[in-house]
Amino acid sequence: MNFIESSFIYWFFVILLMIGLYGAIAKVNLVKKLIGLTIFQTAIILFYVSIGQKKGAGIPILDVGHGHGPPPEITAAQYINPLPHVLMLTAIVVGVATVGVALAVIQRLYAEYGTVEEDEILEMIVTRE
Amino acid sequence: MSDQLIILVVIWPLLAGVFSALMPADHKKLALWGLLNLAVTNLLSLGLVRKVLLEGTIHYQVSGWVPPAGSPHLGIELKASVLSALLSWLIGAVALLGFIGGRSTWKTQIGERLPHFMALLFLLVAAFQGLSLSNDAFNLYVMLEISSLATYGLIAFGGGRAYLATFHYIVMGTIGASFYLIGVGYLYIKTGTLNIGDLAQILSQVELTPAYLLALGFLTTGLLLKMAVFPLHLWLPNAYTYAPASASLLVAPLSTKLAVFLLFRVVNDLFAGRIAGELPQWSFFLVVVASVGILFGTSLALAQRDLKKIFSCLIVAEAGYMLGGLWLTDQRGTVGALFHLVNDAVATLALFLVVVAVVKSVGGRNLNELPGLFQKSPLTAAALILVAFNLIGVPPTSGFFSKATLLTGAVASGRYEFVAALLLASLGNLVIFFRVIEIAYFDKVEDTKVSKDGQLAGALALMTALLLVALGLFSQSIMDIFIRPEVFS
Repeated sequence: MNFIESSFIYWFFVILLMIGLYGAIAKVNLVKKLIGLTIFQTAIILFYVSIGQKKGAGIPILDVGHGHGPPPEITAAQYINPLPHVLMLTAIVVGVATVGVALAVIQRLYAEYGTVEEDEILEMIVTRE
Repeated sequence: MSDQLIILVVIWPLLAGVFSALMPADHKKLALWGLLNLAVTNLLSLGLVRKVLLEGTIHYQVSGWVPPAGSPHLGIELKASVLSALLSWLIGAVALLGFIGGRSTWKTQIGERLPHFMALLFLLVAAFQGLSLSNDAFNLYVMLEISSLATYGLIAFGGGRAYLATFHYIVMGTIGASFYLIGVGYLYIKTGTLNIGDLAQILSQVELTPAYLLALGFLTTGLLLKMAVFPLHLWLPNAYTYAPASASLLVAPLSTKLAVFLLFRVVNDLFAGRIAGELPQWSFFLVVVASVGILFGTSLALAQRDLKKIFSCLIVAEAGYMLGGLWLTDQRGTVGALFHLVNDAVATLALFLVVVAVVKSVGGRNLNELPGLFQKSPLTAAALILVAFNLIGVPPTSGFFSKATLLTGAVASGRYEFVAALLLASLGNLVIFFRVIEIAYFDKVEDTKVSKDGQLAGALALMTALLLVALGLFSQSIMDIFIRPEVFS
């Protein structure tokens, strides 16, 4: 029990990851597949964001503005680690681009076959040949 | 100026891509524009190779974020070793030859959308260059995804059946890249750095706890998806088959190979020297996967009747060669895998150039349309035979030398199932190509007029195939200068 409690956020992340993976692989509807994929990516983003967290730390912004006296002494333990968050900004952009491309492809598929169900599309491909 | 060479290699094609999107859809002008920019990229890469050979490995801190002495890197670092500089030039050279070879198919397959197509093409070249030169684990993920996104777009240009193939590729490709990202996350939690040099240094001093093994597992699984190793290959054959010719000429030779190079970085830089001692079960498992993959890919190719699909399935088999080589406990296997990477990039380019030439010569790429190829375009037929020799492993083509090195490594590691798979795959390739050549040579046709377009495309394919012979003749010097220093460092 303690094992689950102490790493609660990781369990959350793993369950979300599995939901996403299941959706991306097992769903027949292409849009649902894409939703699964997005959940999968979001889980990873949450995982990264969580690793920057520290107990009792604040947002990583200095109290003194630039040019207003000498910089205060910085204790790393007082600030959460901003690097994973910055990395995730890039990962979010990558994720958005992926979803954009995938939606465009789904749109083309719909225009071509009139459906977004994978099995129906496959059936039509077989009958066309 | 020459300090900035390494970043220019990445930035030049990137900017060329941005400006391509703004150009008018004039095929002649765009051909010149593309040729010019690819030539510049090639020259920059060649300059980089020369600089690395003269001055040794180059480290470049992007935006001048030089780390204070003794502390880890904060910014992104680019690194050009002899091998990554060679790869950078290989990317440029393959892109240039593929560009020239694809020119004749623009009119029918791309048409009005050419500026956008070229933008994606250059974006892909830039991402490939970034993959070969970046030394930052997260930056490598971004480059991996940029290259994949550009590839999705390029493949979707094929229209019709390409759309569903693209969608499958998007799902599988994103899952693969995400797995890689999770692996990087684990390493970051444990070490607090993303720079591969720093990571390697820290990892060399720690005991491999489950967290590190999990990281390695995620990184490897993600990259296996990108490499399209059986049983994670399902997206590849259709995507490459239905892509437009000029896209597959760039994507097929390089895309999976750069994933292999990334795996090499993981295995050889991050977990250097640990395979034999601490990860014997991993080595055992992955070489078995590779062996099965080789046999499966080859038999998948045997079952196809579309020439382009046959060659796409062969890429699945080739991925197995390199995976097995990288995970052999003997380092000669790694040398073989890396030489096979170079050899296979050129061979795959030649194969897809042959497909273009075959379509030009006989009007189709299905096996039953092939008869008369030897009369209609002798040059294409010659290129086909030469590449066939390479894939079967006949000296003096480079295929023989890469396979020989892989076999040496496999025997030295005592992995006879890998030896058997390599030999059986050669036999399988012999059957595949004999069948193709038999149909093309012996089946008689009425019309035997020589096809001019076919001969022209065939000449380029033959030239590329001759490069394989050159690679074979210089195989020892290439391995000594470019590959062995990297593996045995």
